[in-house]
Amino acid sequence: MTDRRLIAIVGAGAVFVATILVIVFVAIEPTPEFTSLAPGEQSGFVAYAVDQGDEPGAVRIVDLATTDAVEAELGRDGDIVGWDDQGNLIIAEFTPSAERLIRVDPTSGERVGSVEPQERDGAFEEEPVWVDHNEGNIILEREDGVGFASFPAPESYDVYEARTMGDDRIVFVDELGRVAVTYLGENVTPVMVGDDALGWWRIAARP
Amino acid sequence: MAGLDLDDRLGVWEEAGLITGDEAQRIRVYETEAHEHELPGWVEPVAYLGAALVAVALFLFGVQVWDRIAIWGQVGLAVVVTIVLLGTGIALRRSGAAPAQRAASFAWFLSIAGVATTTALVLFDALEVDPDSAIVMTATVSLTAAVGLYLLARTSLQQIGMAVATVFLISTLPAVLPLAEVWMISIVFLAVGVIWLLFTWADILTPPTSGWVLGALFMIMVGFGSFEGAALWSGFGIIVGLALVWLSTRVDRRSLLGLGVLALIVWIPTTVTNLFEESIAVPVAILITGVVTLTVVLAAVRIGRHEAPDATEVGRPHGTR
Repeated sequence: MTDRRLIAIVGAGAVFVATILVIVFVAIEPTPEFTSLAPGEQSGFVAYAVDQGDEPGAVRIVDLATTDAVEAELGRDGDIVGWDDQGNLIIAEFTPSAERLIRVDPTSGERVGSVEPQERDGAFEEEPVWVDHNEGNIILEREDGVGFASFPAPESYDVYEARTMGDDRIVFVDELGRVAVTYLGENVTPVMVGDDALGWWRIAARP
Repeated sequence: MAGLDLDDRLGVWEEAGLITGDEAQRIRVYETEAHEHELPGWVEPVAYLGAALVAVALFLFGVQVWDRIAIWGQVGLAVVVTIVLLGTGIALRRSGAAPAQRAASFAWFLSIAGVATTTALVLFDALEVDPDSAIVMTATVSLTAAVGLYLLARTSLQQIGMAVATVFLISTLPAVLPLAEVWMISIVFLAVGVIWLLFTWADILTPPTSGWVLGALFMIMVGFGSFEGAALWSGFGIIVGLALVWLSTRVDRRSLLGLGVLALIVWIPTTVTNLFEESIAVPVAILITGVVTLTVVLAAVRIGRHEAPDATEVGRPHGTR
């Protein structure tokens, strides 16, 4: 073997090893897994609609403090609207002739009344959060541009919709109906709080 | 001497005492016999054109019926096409004629695509392997085939086939490595380029012209990490461009000079744009690119004149001294 060949092979080996070291120690960021939320680490309620095709759907309401979920009925043409001042979930039911706003107790999923027309102004959903995907990262940005959250997207994870939850938290639901919570302005791994729904329509979060 | 035919040239060389009259006559006889069996120059391109039309027609026909063929039928067809291409290459390679050698290289080059298609059909559709694993395995098999064919015939086209298969394999890395950033791939391209140039310099990769060009192209791709907006990577692209220009003065390769200038023309404006975004006008960026490129090329020419290799070593790497 000539000197040149020896130098080339040793040099190539050095370049190869250096590249592997750079990849291993600098470039690889482990894909985050959602960590399960232990009861008590969060508070508030997250409601999201479970799509059941042509059948009347259901609203799943997750208590973040206990991670327990209850379900409330949602008509086929129904929708989640938001929360009232007493912390009840407001669901809209649409009929051919009218729209009704139903109050639902988030702890039981039971209907506890309806919203009078004069009350409805204060019962509408919080501002949405824009969801964007950028080179493996999920970017959540509030509509008013006040803050955003960015984090590496877990493998096969797709966020369809996100909402603010008070001033500092963002909650979102993925394609499997899994609910996760993250914080504005931070690079944090979202905490998963539910994972057994089959679909989604829209979500509403209450601190 | 340009414009003189062979007889005239031999006469001039004989008068200059470079060759004897006997040698001139032997050269005349050799060249006459060599050209007697040569096909006219237009035959080869027309043959390629005809072959391309046949291939396109077969492809269009295949697209129409492809979905109606069972998966193992599709695999069988891909295998047959690949074997035909490989066999054609082997048959043509036995002929000593230059056009046949070129056609053989082309057939083997296409056979790499055949190997890739066959492997993909088997892994994705027949065995239903996990897609991420399947794409990496397909790329690995393709590169293995390309390397094998290159070892059998060290032609430019086989080397290009190896480079294309390498790009394919690199592009599949994100499927198996949790690479968070695009620039990771840039590092891999840079490393492959450096290794390619090293092997070319050491005559491990031949023909050398293909080796220098392909290695330089791999290195230039380091700047693509800048498409995430970081000036750092296009800055590396500029450094690579300068390194290639400098290298062109050391190994006397115009291709490296050209590719180095190409890198500067691409990555200087990219870097300027990334650094200053809206605050710098496009004409200014073009002016900076032009001035830097001119300066670098003039410097390279000056260095080249100062360190011009001996006439006996023109075209040889300086490392052979």
